[in-house]
Amino acid sequence: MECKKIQEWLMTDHRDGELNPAEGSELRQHIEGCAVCREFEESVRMTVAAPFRGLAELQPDPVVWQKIRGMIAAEEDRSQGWLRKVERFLQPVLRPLPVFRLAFVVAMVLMVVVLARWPFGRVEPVYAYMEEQAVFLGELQTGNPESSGSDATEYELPSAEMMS
Amino acid sequence: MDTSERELIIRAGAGDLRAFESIYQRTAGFVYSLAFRVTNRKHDAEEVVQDVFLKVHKHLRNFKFESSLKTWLYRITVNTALNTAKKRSRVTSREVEEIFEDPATVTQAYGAKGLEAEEAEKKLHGFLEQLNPDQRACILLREIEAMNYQEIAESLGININTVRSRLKRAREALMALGKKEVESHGM
Repeated sequence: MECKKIQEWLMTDHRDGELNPAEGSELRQHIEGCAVCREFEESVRMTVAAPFRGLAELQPDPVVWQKIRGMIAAEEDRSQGWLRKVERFLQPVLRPLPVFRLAFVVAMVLMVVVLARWPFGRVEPVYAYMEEQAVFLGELQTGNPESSGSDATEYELPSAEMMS
Repeated sequence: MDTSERELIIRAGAGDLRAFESIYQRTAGFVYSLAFRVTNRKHDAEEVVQDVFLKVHKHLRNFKFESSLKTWLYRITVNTALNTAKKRSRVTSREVEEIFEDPATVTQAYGAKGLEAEEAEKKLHGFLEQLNPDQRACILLREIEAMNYQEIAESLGININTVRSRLKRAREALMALGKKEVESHGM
């Protein structure tokens, strides 16, 4: 039972530096007194690392990068193509043609002119009427019908008879 | 992570293809090596490299610098390679025979080690053939990439006891293979 555990450690945790200090000393003590496990340790040392010795880093064929670059370019074209479709769809809204822009500007100018003129055409008679009323009220306060040159005479006060 | 690598990542994430190519040149070797050894097929490894770098290109702008680029690449590579290897293992043995490749044809780029590295790669290829893809991934991350159990567990999304048991099985297979070789040489 003890040898099984030790041999498992020899193949895994001991070989990979994962044993804690207490386990390490237990393993060393056992191996010192066990010829079978000593032989097993030697066998692990000789065979387990052997296939991984003398290896070099491999390099992919240069064509692999060409393919990757081509795929990236194709992907970017695809995504840009999608954006272009959206842009074309929204173009009339986002960027109107020059003739529409011109028409829009002319319409705006006309609207401003019309709106600007509209109140002044009506204001003029109002001012004239107010001025006339102001003069009339002034004459009434002074009681001088001559100063007005005036239509005061044109006003006929109602007679007493009529009043009764 | 040094400043230049950080800058490269930021630039590549912003769409600079030359920066992305620099990242590829720096990292494609270990991505391909790991992918080839997990899948044990040149064609599959190249597909894995393509998939990995397309994923990286797509998500690089969201890279948070919480781990190193290499750790992130390991995780993507090993999982992409495992998926590919598992798909491949579902094909019939006849189909496998048809697509079998001599590892010597994988690449001419064995570097300065030349023939010695080529021979070592052949041996490793023969050994990895005895393992399932999960065991292959564990033993490669441990023996070649020198990851500890915790790092392997995080990379593969498994617990430490599973890492330990996969390594044990892989090494048992390796020892059995060694014993068989000794016996055949003895005869």
